[in-house]
Amino acid sequence: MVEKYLIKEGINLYFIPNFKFKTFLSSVYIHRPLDESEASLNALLPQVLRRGNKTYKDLTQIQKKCEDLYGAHLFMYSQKKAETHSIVSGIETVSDNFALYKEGILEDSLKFLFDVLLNVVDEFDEDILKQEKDNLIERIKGLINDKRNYAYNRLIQEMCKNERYGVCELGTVERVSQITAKGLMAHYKKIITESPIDIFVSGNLSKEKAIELVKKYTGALPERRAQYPGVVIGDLPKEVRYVEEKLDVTQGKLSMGYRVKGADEYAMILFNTIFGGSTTSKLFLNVREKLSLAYYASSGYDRYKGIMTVNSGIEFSNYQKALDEINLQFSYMKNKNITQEEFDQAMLSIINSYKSLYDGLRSLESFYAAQCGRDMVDLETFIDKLSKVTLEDVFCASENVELDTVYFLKGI
Amino acid sequence: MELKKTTYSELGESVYTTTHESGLKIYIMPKKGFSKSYAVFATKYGSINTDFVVPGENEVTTVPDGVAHFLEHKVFEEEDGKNAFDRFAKYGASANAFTSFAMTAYLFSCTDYFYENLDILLDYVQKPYFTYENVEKEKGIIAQEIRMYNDSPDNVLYFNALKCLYKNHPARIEIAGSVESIMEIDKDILYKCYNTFYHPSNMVLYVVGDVDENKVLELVKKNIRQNQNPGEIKQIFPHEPEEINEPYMEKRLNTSIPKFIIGFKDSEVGGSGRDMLKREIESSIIIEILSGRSSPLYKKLYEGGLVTSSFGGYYNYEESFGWAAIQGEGNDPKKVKELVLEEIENIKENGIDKEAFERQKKVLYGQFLRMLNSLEGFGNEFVGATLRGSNLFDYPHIVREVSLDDVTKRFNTLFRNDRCALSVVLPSN
Repeated sequence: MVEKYLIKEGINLYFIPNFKFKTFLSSVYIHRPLDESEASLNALLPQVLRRGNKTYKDLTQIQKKCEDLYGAHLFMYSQKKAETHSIVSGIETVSDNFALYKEGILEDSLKFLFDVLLNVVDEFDEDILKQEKDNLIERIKGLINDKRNYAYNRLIQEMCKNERYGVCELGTVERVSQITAKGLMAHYKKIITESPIDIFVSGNLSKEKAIELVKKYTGALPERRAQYPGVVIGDLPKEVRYVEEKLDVTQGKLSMGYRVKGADEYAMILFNTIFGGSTTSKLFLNVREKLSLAYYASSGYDRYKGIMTVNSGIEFSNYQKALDEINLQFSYMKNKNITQEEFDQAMLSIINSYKSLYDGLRSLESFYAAQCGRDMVDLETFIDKLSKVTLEDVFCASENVELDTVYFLKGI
Repeated sequence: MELKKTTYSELGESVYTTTHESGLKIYIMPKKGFSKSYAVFATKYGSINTDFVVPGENEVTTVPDGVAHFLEHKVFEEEDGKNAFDRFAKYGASANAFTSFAMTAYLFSCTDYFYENLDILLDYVQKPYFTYENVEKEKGIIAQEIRMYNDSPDNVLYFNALKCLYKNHPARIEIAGSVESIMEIDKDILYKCYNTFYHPSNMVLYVVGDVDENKVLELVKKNIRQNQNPGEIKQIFPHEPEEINEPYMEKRLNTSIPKFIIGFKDSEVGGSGRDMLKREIESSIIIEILSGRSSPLYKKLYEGGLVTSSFGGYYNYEESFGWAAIQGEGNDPKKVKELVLEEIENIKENGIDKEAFERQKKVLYGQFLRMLNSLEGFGNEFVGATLRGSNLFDYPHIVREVSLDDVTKRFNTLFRNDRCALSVVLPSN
């Protein structure tokens, strides 16, 4: 369950009451359009804010405060969802009823979070800026370390190279190195006054208390027009693009991207689960189990962007075999070659995954936060709609999915 | 077989425990209001158990590296050519398994049909089916998995640190073994290890969720058919000197920035379950005081550009070994090690900061509460602790009772220059 409350024009509070957890969570989402011109700024800003403010002067003071709050997790990062690049700042701490000395952790945590985000220094320190730029550049360069993710990111980059979605949420080395203290401050002032902001509060407290506290600590923020960045759904491709890349690796990565346009989202979730989203999926049973072609082979569906992807780790020499087998399984999906049993098992598995979201504060928040700027569907309603999808609906959806790009990472 | 209920009222939790006549220990943790239920069926058998004496035999059995992990893959296999995943899938459970140094765990979580799924878990883990063909087929899959680990800088970094610290102890061997060692595994070896270690007397069943404890017990009675406890399995570990094996190891891999682990070999190992838990808590506190984010050392390293924000320490142990790791990324790992050793001397000289000590105790208490939010996270920790003879619920009490004296002693034992090694992964170009 989630309750929405308008704090002021352009600033919403989403309250998720929950009494079974031992912690409390609050996150602030500042939504920006995903765009190369500002992605680097959006990625760097939370890292610099985390280094100190007018109340907590430096890293050590911020960290000591977290430790005093029973090891609070203060997290600040940027993330992309379709064409939205959000700056997320949040805190998770122990609920008041578990405090050892009866201190009020909840209010103190919220005050702390908004101090970090709003009580910002007048000018960013040059040394800090340089350190955080260097760190971000290292992270961008380090994307190559995790080959599984790297292959996925490269696929998206290639597939969406003419779209904003192809932009990396960490920005680029060139853009990051050009950022100045003045430029970053100007960007901060712009986004904090102009962008739509969604604040989530979840845990063991009343809605009234949540509203009171959020109002209290966001008093300085002006009203703004809540214009969310929107989404671009790409067209179904006319032909498949093939991209190969060589790196010093011992295992090959085959990633494939599919466009989804015009399909019912709920039916597509089932489509993906049957194809490669569970351990009874066609990809798992055939590519991995039957043919031993891969250690992993699975698919994922991004319902916000209309993209489905397949990711697999294979021997270099098995490239053609694996590609053929994945294509064969996809053709079965398209040709309505799906049994009722496959459908039923996929349904159970996916309902299980969504019901499991109830059991984590972060997972529950993420489910709703991903819907910011859209009509928010309650998790209960969502699960209900999902459970009503039929095999016939999946057949219908299969007409709206096509292979777009094949990316292969091989050894030197 | 009677259930005993223990309530931890200050944590708002309780646990039912009992032991089946076969020796199987059962733990049921009721969690009202949770959608998910989670069950773990685990054996005290992991990658380090390569030398042992089968109960009733006199001779030592030695098996190739990677058998425990190989078994984990094969136990899923069923006689009709299908696997246990198929059976779980009928009831919508998400099933998995993992192998660590000292345990192999089979688990599932689900939001519906909990008892049906528990029935499957108890059944398939007790029904091995290994054939020449299905064992050979698995070698290809596991070899792929091993290659993937060999490509992973973090994995190589971690095991190289262990290879530096340990001369003989099998903790230095990768959990899955090597592509070569798994080729030596056959169905007879698998059956021998299975029959030795997968007896209920060497296992634990842990269940958590909004479940009925009596129904769980009925299912156990129905499924656990073995009643005889065959006696103790003698574990044999090679003699391990207190000294480290090698002070430095490096490997070039595809990484953009050098990664490092500074490892400290602990000379204190084993003891009672409570002793080990206390040692873990004390070690975690001093690692944070030395290198945590509020430490003077971290400030110096981070602001000096010697490390990135992915920097931190942790304590790893099982009954037969223990070590501390300080892990990070940066262009000059040797310099970081030097500054870490310098700070250790500094703390030894000036004593541990009392405020930092109190803060870290709060942090550990908070972490424990946070862990209780996660059925899986807490469950896995609980089972691991149980197999070592510890009760994880002692954790918050021990945190409160640990004194500054305790951690000072721990600091001097764990952080010694001559027990320290550096593992580095460097960019390949």
